Amino acid sequence: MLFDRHAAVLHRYAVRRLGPEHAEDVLAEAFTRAFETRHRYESARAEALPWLYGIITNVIGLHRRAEARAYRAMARTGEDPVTAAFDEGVAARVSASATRQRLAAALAKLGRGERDVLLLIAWGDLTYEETARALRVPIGTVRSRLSRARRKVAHALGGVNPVEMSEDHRERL
Amino acid sequence: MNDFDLIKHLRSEVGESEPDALNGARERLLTVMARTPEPRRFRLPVKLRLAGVVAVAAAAAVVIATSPAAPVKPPATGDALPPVSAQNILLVAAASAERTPLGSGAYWHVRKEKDDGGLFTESWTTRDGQRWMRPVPGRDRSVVGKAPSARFWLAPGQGELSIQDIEALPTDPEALKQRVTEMIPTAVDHHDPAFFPLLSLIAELPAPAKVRSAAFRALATVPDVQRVGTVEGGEELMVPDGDQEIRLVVDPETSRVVRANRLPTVGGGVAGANGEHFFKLTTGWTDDFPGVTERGKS
Repeated sequence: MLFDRHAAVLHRYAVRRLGPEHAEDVLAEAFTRAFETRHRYESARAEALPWLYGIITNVIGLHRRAEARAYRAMARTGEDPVTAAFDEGVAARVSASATRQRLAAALAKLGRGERDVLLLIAWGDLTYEETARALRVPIGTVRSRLSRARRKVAHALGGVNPVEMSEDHRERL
Repeated sequence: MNDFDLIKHLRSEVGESEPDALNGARERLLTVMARTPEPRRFRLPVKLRLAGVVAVAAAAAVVIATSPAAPVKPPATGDALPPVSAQNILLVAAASAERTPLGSGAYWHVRKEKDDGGLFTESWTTRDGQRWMRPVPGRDRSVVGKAPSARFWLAPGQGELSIQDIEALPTDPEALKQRVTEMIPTAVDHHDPAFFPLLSLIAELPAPAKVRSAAFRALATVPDVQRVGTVEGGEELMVPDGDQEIRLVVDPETSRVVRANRLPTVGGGVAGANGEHFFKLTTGWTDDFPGVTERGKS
């Protein structure tokens, strides 16, 4: 069953965006929608995961106020309500709180489409093409949204020039 | 580390999702799937269908032509059931259900465990219509919380009952079958409309001995229930259901459903185990209740 193959990965993605309390509802809603529109997927014969990421992205979108509220809380206090239940040791090692606060502030301010693209690629591990398929937008839109999002994040971090980063390090087709 | 890597690591402490965290969503998906009527069969264009009929007729002609000496044996009438058929197992279970009272206690307790003994789901329902359950979504798994509703269901989202309604159900198999069929407007999947309600009655619902017994007898008349074989703890039965057949282990001696891969639940859902796994089911009246966990403690 599709659920058993992909639910764990999609659940973790939902937890990262919205926190553990919403994740179960979001996952259930996403798979229900997937079941109801399964004919569309079967006829396309594409890999299922990007399609499912697209559906769960739409469901997460219903909670975007709650999502932004959590980023803003993290930006303000340095405490991330989403990861309160998890071991923070890893994150603390990865980046100082000040950096995380800036990242969170940037995420809170991104447009919905920019955030969806950035996080599908960064957290969902999708390629540009899979992201385009998930969101049903042209691949050029994925590229432009991603570079806009990264420019905003880099700006929030204090003017690191994003151009020095290779734009296509996520492309593995 | 560049901006992208920083984003990538943000919230990376969120762990891999445990199978337990997915149970609630799986149950809800299975419930939706069970409530959805089968899509109408794909129909071949008339021309193709006729071609098919011609092909079948031709094949039959060949068989007749090549095997004239094999007389077809007419099916024997009044054949006894094979010694161990699904029907026989259900009838033995019906007999033991009749002489096994449900016991007493303040709470109707339904506990499902995973193969390894870990908790899957658990609920306690009182006669006066209150229910508690665990796990509660998004909380620690040991937390017991109040369930929004304490009603019982005969099938996913259909046939809502109180304990008193269940106790008043007919104790004659035919009458029971007819009653539960009337209570379910839509058959689940392509099953006999009585199938899911009868399964609920023998598995998770607090049905009194005579009603359970009647449910077993009625189930013995529902086509499609097949015996898989003797397994640990009882007899495994199987009901084909597309690519996700229902399997359950019934202990004919105690009449309890002890394991299953998929079952309608007390709360009107469908519980399903991961992949090829089964979950263990324990049901009964008890006075043993761990109590509600206060918000914030566990």
